[in-house]
Amino acid sequence: MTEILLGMASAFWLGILTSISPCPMATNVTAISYVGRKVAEPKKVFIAGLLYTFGRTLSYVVLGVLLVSSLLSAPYISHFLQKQMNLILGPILILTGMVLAELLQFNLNSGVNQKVQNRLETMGMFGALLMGVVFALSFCPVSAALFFGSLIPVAIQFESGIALPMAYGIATGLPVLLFAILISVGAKRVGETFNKLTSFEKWARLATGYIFILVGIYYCLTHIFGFQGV
Amino acid sequence: MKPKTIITTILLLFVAVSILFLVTKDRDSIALEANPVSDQMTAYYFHGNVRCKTCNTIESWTKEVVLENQELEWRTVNIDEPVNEHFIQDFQISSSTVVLSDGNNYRELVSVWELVRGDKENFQLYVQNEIAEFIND
Repeated sequence: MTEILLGMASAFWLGILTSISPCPMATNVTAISYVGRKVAEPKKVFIAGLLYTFGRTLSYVVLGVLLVSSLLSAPYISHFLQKQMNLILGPILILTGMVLAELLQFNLNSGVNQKVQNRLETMGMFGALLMGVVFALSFCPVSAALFFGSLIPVAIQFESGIALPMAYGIATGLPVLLFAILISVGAKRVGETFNKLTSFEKWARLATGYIFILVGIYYCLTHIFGFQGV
Repeated sequence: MKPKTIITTILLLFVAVSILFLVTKDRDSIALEANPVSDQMTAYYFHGNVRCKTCNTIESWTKEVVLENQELEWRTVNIDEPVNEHFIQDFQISSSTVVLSDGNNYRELVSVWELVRGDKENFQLYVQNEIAEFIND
């Protein structure tokens, strides 16, 4: 029992190390801006933060189960995810950012448009979950070394494909979760003082869009065109 | 033309060029010479197409130690190139890393990623000890 707790503590520590490394910083900034954009609704910001962390955890647990039960080869899946996921992430982030920043708009008749917008709003919360899943799978050298090289061998030793990757996943989502809590507490105070959050929220969404675009361009330059990253 | 339209056009062009570059780059990287595992005592530094700052620190700190050692050869290998992909299976590597090999046996220096966050002296002491143990085994 003590041993598995120690294993979970070290998995948690590896997750913290991953989350504060320079290379996942770009995705953390993107996630924070996305999660925090509904600043007028602190509860939604907090739930989005939780869903993002849950999405990350889900990816690591699924990988953990598959790797511990030897259904996947760690070196190959690590290589595949590092190479392929980061390649497609840049264009996806730019296009998503363009939709958020209202640079790309779909010309549908107003009734349908409203319906689509409402649906997108509902999906917005699950967007945070999806973002967590995708960002967790976009391994950079540091996160791949810590997850596949350090965490998985310990998880295999403990035969724990769920608990250890779960502790790791929660820790990697902590910066975004902490910001979500800070934003939701802070936004409430700002809201009480100025009561002008609705117009601020529009700016927050546009800013989120441009952050997505900038991070997407960064990903294209580093992963597709071969410029050196952080 | 409105500034918004200009930005949209530039971004869409950038996405299109990125995708085009991605597709053609993969097609270009086929004809390279084979690169087998050396049978000399070798210290490998493996990296991918993307080379982060921490990865470069690991490489330079390790290289300094290896170059002081007469018994070891130093090789830097990009595992994202198709001719080098066999190293992933040969040495079971999951990310940028350092591996010592004599052609039959190998040892991955698994702690480099944790030690690189500390001071250089400790990191290099670890590399020296691993090399000494590997040579004496």
